[in-house]
Amino acid sequence: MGEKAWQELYSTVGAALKPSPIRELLKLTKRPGMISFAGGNPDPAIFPVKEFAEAARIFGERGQEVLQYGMTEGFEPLKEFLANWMAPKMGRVTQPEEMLITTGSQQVTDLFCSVMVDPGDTVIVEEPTYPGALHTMKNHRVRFLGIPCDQDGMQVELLPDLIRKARAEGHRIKFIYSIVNFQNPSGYTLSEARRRRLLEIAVETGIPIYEDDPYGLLRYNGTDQPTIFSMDTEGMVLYAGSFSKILAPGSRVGWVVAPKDVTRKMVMVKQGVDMCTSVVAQAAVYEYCRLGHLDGHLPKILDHYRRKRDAMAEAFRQTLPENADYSIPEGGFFFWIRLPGIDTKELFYKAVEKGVAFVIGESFFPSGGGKDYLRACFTFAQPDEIAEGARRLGLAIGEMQGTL
Amino acid sequence: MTSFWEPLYGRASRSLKPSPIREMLHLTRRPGVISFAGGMPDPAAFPVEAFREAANRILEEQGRDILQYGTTEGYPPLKAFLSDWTAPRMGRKLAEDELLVTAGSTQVVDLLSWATVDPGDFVVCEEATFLGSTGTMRNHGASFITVPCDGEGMKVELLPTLLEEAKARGRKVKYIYTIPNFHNPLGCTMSLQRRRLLVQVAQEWGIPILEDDPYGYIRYDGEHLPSLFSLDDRGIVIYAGSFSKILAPGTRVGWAGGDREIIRKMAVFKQAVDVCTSVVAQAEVYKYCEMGFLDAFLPKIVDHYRKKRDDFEAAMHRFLPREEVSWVKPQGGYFYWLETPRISARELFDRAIEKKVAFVLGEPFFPNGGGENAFRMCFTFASPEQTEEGMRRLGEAMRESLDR
Repeated sequence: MGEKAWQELYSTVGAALKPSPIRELLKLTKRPGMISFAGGNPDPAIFPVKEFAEAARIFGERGQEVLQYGMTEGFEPLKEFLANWMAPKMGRVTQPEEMLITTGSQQVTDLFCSVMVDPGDTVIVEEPTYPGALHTMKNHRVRFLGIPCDQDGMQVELLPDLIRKARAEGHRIKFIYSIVNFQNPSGYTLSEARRRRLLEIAVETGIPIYEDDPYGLLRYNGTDQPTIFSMDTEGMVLYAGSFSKILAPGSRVGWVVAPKDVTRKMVMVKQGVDMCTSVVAQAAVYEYCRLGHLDGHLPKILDHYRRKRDAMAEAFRQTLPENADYSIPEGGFFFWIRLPGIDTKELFYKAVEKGVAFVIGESFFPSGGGKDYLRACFTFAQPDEIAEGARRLGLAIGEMQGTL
Repeated sequence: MTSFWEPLYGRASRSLKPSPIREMLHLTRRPGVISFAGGMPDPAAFPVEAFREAANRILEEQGRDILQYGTTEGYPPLKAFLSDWTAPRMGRKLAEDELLVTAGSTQVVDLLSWATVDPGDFVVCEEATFLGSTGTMRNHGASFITVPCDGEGMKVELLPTLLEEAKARGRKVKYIYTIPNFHNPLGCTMSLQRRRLLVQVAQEWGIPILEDDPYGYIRYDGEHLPSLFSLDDRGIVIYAGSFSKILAPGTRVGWAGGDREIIRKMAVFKQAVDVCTSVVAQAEVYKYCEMGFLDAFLPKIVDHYRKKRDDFEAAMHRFLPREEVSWVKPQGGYFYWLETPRISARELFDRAIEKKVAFVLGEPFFPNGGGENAFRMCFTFASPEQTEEGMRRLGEAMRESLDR
């Protein structure tokens, strides 16, 4: 039909939709010899391939059940496992009606927006935040209110004023989106005091919290903070978890825990989205967990990534300029680096020429900003690549500074 | 708690209703109920051992690749396989960028609706049609223009007038949704002549067709008819296929084939919806196909269900009051559609449930109303003994409805 004919048929969102600029930039990183700190991928070297293959025995044992259509709510044995396994984090064993298994935690954002958002409604997001979530919310025609972050995460003390003003301007605020642990991209973790304050504000203002926690179990040092969900007695918090980082993203299995009524609505939306998450994938993940591999393998993942983080910290210490501003993340996947006076988009092209890639800071800001930041993922590149990549990055920065 | 969330829900979710089939399925799960309701494959026909073997093999060979994030467009080996395997039906081999692997064919409807439907837009569909699809379209705010059907499918000759009317009333029609083979729920198949005419009308009007074909390969007698896709030379047809009926629904793997412009657009939406379909599930399906199991088992599946259809047909002749009910014997697929001009399906349903046999009412399949004296029965799921006994009970219920 050709592009023009389709343009006439597209929805408002469909017509406005453009391929993400990050993805366009990422295409440049596919060249041979490129060292990539860009994508937020786990290291395949630490995938528990053998253990996962062992779990595939469930297809022989329960084949007739797991090859059939599944309940939209999720594979029951997996839900039961998760309710128990997550109980220490959640503060209690959550009930089956509160939980929904999803096709990765990305789907949680889509389903929750379908339930909550009318075009033009507002969501409060951290600045910076995960662009994948922004993309999904944009499809639902969300307006964003950004809230700045520091080492302790979202500056929640700014929220009451922000909310008051926004409401006075007619914003219909539907929820507050926060990646509470080792945030993507900043690596920051929301402090316990701020978690408590955030929940208070949520209760006072009647705005629910979407606590997105894909990295929470990947802590390399320091102590875990309680989930906001566990502090909540009012049913204000929706918690999203994922197997992507603690097992493997290729499974595409995540979950959400929320008040029953909200969960029920998300279930109804999910019926029309994909009926249910791949039962085959859910069953294999369940069997892997049941066999004890989740608990058995997680410490190995932590050791593996801790070493990589340390390697990148050491490499950056040697190669980044004095004025580079960053801290060493206590968990997760990312270094978030500020290079005062340097436009990281320009730096990106220079770095790619030298054979190293990262994600530019402005990708993470829904309403602009972050031009002197970059995100570097330490989990994917191999140890020798980390040192060499840091060296190349240092060279690229040096050249930029030389030309200032 | 509900009261706190209630005012925050989006408009669409306030009117969200659970699928009537799912609600009915609850009734049919009562102990002792023989169900002709859900459109589910017979687990006895699942190739459990072959699937397990394929899963083990691919995890051993490609474990690291398939546990990683995949490309949104789909697992490349599976796409290559599909391109070859579907070529006879599609009339040619689809190029890589004309194929998108999805989470079942439900997701094809969701993604196309994302790309094209604004609230208030219209979709043309058969007067009775798969209520899962209309549910998905409704979530996107679609309304419906329905075209009556007979034994040869959609009465396409009525379409130009309907489109003229819609145009005169300022209605925006975004696509035409059709299930050309072994229609759900009607069981009918669109004739070749009507297929040609439908493509011609769609081309003239510049309105795309979504050809939903989950049952196309499950033909028991007669000759396969060319797909709408193969009859079109302008890229106006989007074809939705699925492994649910030719392998197993628990995989949740389907695909869309179509013009690269719309496929690309749908892929950008898919990125926001679930990043990619479970790579593990895609890879296992691929290996199953690549090892020759798909071609080896498909004839067995077809034989298995042909036998079931014939048993079902025989039982209907034996137990149902012939003068009060009419049906067309389906040449493939899963369903019988029964019309009972003198019996209300709703009343019959209550009576049937008392006697512990279940079917699905006609009404929910009519997006604009109708179907009060019709119902759908699935012949693939019940065992031969259940079919016999269930039909006896149904016959009784029908006679009681008439005597009343």
